[in-house]
Amino acid sequence: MLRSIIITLLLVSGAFMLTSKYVGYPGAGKEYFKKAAAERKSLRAGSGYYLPYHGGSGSFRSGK
Amino acid sequence: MGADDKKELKALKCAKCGGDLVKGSRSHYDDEEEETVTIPVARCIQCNTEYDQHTSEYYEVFADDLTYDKDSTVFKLGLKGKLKGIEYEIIGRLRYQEEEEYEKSTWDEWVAVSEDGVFHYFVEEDGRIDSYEEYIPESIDMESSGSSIEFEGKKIKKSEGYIGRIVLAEGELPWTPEIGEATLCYDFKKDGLNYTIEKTDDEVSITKGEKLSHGEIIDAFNIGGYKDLYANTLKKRKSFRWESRIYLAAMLFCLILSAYSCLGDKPVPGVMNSKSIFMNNSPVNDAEGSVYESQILYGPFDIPEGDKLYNVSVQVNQQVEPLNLEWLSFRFMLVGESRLNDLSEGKINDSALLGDIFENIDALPEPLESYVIIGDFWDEEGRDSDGYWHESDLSYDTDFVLDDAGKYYVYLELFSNNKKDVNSVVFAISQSKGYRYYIVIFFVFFILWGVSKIRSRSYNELPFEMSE
Amino acid sequence: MSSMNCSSCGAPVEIKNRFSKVFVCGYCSTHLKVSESGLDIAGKYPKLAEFPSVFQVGSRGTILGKPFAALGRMRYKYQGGHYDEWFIELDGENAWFTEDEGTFTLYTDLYEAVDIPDITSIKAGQNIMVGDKKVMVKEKGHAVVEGGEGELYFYVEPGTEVVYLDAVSEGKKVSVEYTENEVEMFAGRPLLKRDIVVEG
Repeated sequence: MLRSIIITLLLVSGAFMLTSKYVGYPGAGKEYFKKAAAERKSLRAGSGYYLPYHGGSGSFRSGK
Repeated sequence: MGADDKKELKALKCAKCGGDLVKGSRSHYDDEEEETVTIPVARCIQCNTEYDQHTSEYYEVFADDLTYDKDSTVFKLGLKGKLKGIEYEIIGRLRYQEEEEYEKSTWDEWVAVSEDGVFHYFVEEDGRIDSYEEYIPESIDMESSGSSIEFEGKKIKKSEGYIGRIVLAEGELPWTPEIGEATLCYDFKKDGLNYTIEKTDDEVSITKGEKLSHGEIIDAFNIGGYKDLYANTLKKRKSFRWESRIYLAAMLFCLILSAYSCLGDKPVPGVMNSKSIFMNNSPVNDAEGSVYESQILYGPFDIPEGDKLYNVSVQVNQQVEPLNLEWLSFRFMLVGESRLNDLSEGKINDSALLGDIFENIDALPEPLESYVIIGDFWDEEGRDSDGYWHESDLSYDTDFVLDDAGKYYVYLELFSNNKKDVNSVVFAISQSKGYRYYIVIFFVFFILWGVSKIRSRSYNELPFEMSE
Repeated sequence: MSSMNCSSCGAPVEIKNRFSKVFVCGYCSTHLKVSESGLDIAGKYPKLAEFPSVFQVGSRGTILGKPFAALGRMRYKYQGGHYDEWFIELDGENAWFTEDEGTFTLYTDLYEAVDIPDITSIKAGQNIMVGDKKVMVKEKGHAVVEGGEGELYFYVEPGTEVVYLDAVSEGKKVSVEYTENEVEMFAGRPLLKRDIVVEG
């Protein structure tokens, strides 16, 4: 029984810590700038031009 | 016993030709299972006659498969003990197999004589022990109704009956049974007590019984070696029961935490209050053909706290314009006012300049946006092997952690195969608490609860099965 | 109660129950039919083998707290072994007590010369009317009379085949015995050994 109490406390406190620190969520702002800037540089270095976003259906059923 | 004796025991004969019977199998299409099933049968090696589980021959051939664990029982022949003040001696045993089961599904009926001169039956099945003795009902009628038996005013459906076949008989028994002998059994409860009616061609037996714990049996029959094992088993099961309760409580706690986190979202107000439309359903040609593009800038609005988790939900407002057998893609960009101000060199109110900036946003050397979300909405129909289907996906949401508070804009690009009202796509931003880890540990606790629950029932140090 | 002498060996014979139809001489095992005119020899048969039993002819004591006296018994042999059917006086009334492989049943109600359906067609689980009683047959079996001792209420010659029905009716155990000449039905209840106290 003691074992289950320890496991429960560890798991709950672990989950509480991860939640309060927002671990695992993507960052917006500085973290995003850094990542997006690096991606743009690598695209430009490789292809010479940046491909703008084009919309298109990500159809679930037909895959159009 | 020599090899010849063994051979003689196995030499079961076919009723038709006298040939030897051996174990075999038969495949047939099962209407209920809707597939081909293979069932065991006894087969004559000479004339190929098959004997299935409705024949005595079958049980003679398969007896060894149904009795291999005959010694893994609480009771043993010759065991003597005093239960509830009455002395008993175990003098015989019958093992039955349920006729409708192809797999082993057996129970043991131990015949005991009591000092009171009464035959008593201890039934051991799936780790459960019941004690039965003869009962004379006030009224019983087994034949007036075709579908039920009347037993002291209670109706017992005949369809609930099952057939047991004797697969083992040993010791002293009130009659001389034969392997494969069939007994039609009805088990039922009445006024909290268990009753069994067993019917063969020659006899009807009516017994009344009650469940006994293994502890009672071990104490009564002084099965000394098992006392400690039984006590340990009970102790461990109790411990697992407590563990399962703790995990169950933890599951509930996680659910409450998740619900609290979920319901505690604080919406960011006024995110769609003001907007500038830079492009409204302009045709654009790309490799896949012509699509319509719209560009809208919403804001500014205040995001009050930094280093917090935010949730963005984008969806099609069907009331404005439904999505009907078409698709619509979006790009959602959260843009900080200060960066936009810097890029526009302070001309943040110049709509034409902003339109130009956003038209070329992907060509900027540094990203303007603080975060981007890309998604699709669709509505489709079609036919497949299950027939007609109509499905749609009209909402999208995601979480992110925004480091800086302040004023922000949302730049929304829409692409669609048909012209769409720009107001048909709406979004909301809310400050969120996050609950995914509570959900994760909820499932971890669920597994732990399940394991401890199973172990609280199945943990066993005894050499025989013991149910709760 | 009347005192006579055995028609075969002359030994003294004391008939204790006025309903007794046969007396088996304890000295020479001659079966004597009891009639108003005296004792007629029905036949001479070997003495019954001694098997352990709760009673002996002449045993006294209590059953369910009521005084009894064991007057005589008939022994039957069947597939599962043998059983004894004791004729007893229980609290001044006639009663029958069966001892079958260590199980005991006390029959206090007797229905003589009852009508039952064709015995050959009766099966276990069937309802039958015995006289005005609806009974459910639990078992149908065959037994052979082995012999008797003491005073007997019924008399069937040793060697005669009897068809018996074990049945239940209105919360009572019912036993129907069927011979070529007559049908009797007894109704009673099972007994525990502790219900029977034998003096001495």
